[in-house]
Amino acid sequence: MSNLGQKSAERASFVNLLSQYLKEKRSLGDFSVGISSKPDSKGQQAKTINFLSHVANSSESSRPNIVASNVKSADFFPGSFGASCSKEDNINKTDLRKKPVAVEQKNAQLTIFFNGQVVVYNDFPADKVNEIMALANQGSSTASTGVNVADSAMEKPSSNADKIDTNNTDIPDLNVASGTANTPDQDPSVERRQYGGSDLRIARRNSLHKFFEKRKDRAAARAPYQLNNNRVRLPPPKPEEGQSSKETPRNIDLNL
Amino acid sequence: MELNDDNKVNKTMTSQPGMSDVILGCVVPYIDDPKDRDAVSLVCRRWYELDALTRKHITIALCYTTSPDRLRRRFRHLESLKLKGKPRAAMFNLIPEDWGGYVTPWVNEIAENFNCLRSVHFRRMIVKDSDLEVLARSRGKVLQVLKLDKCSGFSTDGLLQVGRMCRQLRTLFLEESSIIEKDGQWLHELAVNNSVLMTLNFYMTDLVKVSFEDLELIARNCRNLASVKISDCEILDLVGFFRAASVLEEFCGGSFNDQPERYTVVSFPPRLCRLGLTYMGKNEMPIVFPFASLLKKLDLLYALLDTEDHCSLIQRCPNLEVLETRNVIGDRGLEVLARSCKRLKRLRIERGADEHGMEDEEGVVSQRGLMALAQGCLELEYLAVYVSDITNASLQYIGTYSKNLCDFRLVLLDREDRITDLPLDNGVRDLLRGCEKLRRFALYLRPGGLTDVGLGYIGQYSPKVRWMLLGYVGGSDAGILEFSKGCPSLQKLEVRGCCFSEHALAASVMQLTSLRYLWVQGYRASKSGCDLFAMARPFWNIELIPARRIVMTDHVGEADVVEDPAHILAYYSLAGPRADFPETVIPLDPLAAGVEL
Repeated sequence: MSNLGQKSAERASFVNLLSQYLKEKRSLGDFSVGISSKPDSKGQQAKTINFLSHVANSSESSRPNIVASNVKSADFFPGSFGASCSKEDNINKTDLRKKPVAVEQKNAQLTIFFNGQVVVYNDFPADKVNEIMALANQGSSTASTGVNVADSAMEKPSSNADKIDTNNTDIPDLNVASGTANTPDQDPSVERRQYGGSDLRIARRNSLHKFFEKRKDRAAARAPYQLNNNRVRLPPPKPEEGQSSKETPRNIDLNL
Repeated sequence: MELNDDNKVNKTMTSQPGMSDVILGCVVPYIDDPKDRDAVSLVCRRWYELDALTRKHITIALCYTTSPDRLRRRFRHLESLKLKGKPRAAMFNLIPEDWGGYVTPWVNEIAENFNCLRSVHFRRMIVKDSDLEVLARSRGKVLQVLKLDKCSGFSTDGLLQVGRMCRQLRTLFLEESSIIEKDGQWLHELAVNNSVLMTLNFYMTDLVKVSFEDLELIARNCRNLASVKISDCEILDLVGFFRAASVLEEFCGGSFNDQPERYTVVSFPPRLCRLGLTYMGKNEMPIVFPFASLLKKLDLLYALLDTEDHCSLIQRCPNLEVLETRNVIGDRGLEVLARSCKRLKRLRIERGADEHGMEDEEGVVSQRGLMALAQGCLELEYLAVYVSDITNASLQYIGTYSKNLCDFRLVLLDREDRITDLPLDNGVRDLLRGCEKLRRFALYLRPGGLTDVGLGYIGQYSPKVRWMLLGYVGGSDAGILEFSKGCPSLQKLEVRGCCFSEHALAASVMQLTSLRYLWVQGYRASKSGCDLFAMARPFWNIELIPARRIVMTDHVGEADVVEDPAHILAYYSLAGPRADFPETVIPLDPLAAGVEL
């Protein structure tokens, strides 16, 4: 495993760059995702937004392999791989919670995630990046100043970017994070949120889930004023008062 | 391990003085237990061959661990095969539908080479109509058991072929499969062609176009029909069926859509002792009372009973051995159960609906019910329960009283903010120490539910446990590392929502000596995703399902976005990496990454 260290560093940087690239692509609104629609037997549409299909399509490798060493990095990063690498590592170390920053040397594009918004700067001078990072690092007071400075040069974030919730729990990443990839390991105050699956609900069994849905349907169908639900075979309509009053207690009943 | 078919039975025994071929040949077929068989096959080449020739049943716990070819080369005369595909998490809608587990290569091999195969069981796999046709055509004359268990990908057209060509079926099992329904013809074909059916099961499928007349015909034609579990079908339409099925012992399914008093005309078969009536409510329940004392198994998972109803019914069932229900049974229901059902062996208490007003307010299970249960039902072998509250003492009770427990699963629901007694370190320790027969163990808690010390206890005190599910346990990497120093028998580990880093998970895998299968969802990922390579080794496949965002639209058009964190799946395989990955699954290939093994 002697080569591992060197190679893993390269891989780490590569994967980081790749993930930054994806974020940029997203923020620009140039975001083609593979959405496959899979209706299950109940007609529910489960659309899986597969962020990685974008990667798979772009690269020439036939199989999306996370650490494929033969993916043509030149396709993603026109800049020299080695140079961006070291700078990237440097910047990543000073990443702030909620403010990961992507640097792309050749395009000189800066993307900032802040407070639920994504901001993209084109033609941002690379040397200024460290300045911005330093400002942001200094804490909230100067951070706000920093942001104000950026505001004037700000490009309107795309509408897609607004929808991106940067609340740590979601942006799927090539780092295959559990949703907490954007949170740096060092910050102890987010330790609890990093509890792997803080966003993981106790999963429900399919069979029971279907049953609860059907039970809701039955409850809806039995209410006298509801429309016929053809999923449930209803008893013949009973116009008499007596009969329908027999139905209604069932609805109020917690037994439903 | 290549089996050469030329080394047949006629060779003289040179390696085993004193035990002739004849004696060995007589004895080995009586050995059924897979572990014993495994041991037999390792003694020497002769014994290996004899095992290969005489082994009747094989279960392949994950279809990608080997290949159809390898199976055929070793066990050509197999009579019964069980294959499992998707990870267990698929039952909870956590695995992409197209993940894999295709039966096609296996069916093709079966069709061509497995001439003795009479029983096929596919669980959580993808089955196509063409697969069913191939199977029916090639093995239809001898196939006695066909189980498509939580499978998907086929339609009633495939079943039609089965009904037509598999006339020797004793068992047709389709429970919980996702089947595209075109018509009810398949059941009709089964009805007119089969007279030996004993078990028919399409429970929890959405097949509604089946006709009750065909069910009745099956009951009339098949004099050995013992177990029938169906989808929703009005019970009043089944009166004729119940009359005809004179030896029926088990019935589940049906539906109650009419006025309760109309159901007094329903008369159940005399030997019926395993029952589960869907949508049965308080007012219909009395139809069960006349034979409640005969009941050995009761399925109330899909009934509409409240806590009081449970008490009322359960106290009439002194011979109950298996009960499945939701937590609406409540602590009070468990107390009644403990008093009335001394023969109880298996209890499963599932989680009720979350919406308010849909379940009984009394419908919560806590330490109170568990303690009563432990003391009352001493023969308990299987306990799976969703609790709303828990204490160490109740777990200690289980350790003290439930000496026959082989399978214990506890999930702590997340509705209550405050739990009476956490962490559960000591209770878990005492339960594990007391329940010496435990083979399967699941503990699903919340942050703070079990410390690293408690996790270490699990490792230390579970010598025979082969399968574990751990959810929200431990507090740091130290926990899983300590845990993995123990668990000497642990073959399959599922971990969800834990705080462990990739590095710790990988290191743990290397320490667990019996581990052959790992599934993880929700963990602390490394920046590069490469820390997992610490567990790279020969024959060990590592796959990832990266985090996804799933948009679910229900049937009323409301959309719900669900975040699905990344999964790790790792397993030993003799067949190398899969060749059929969908887009959503990514292999981690150490060789491609240049990792030295």
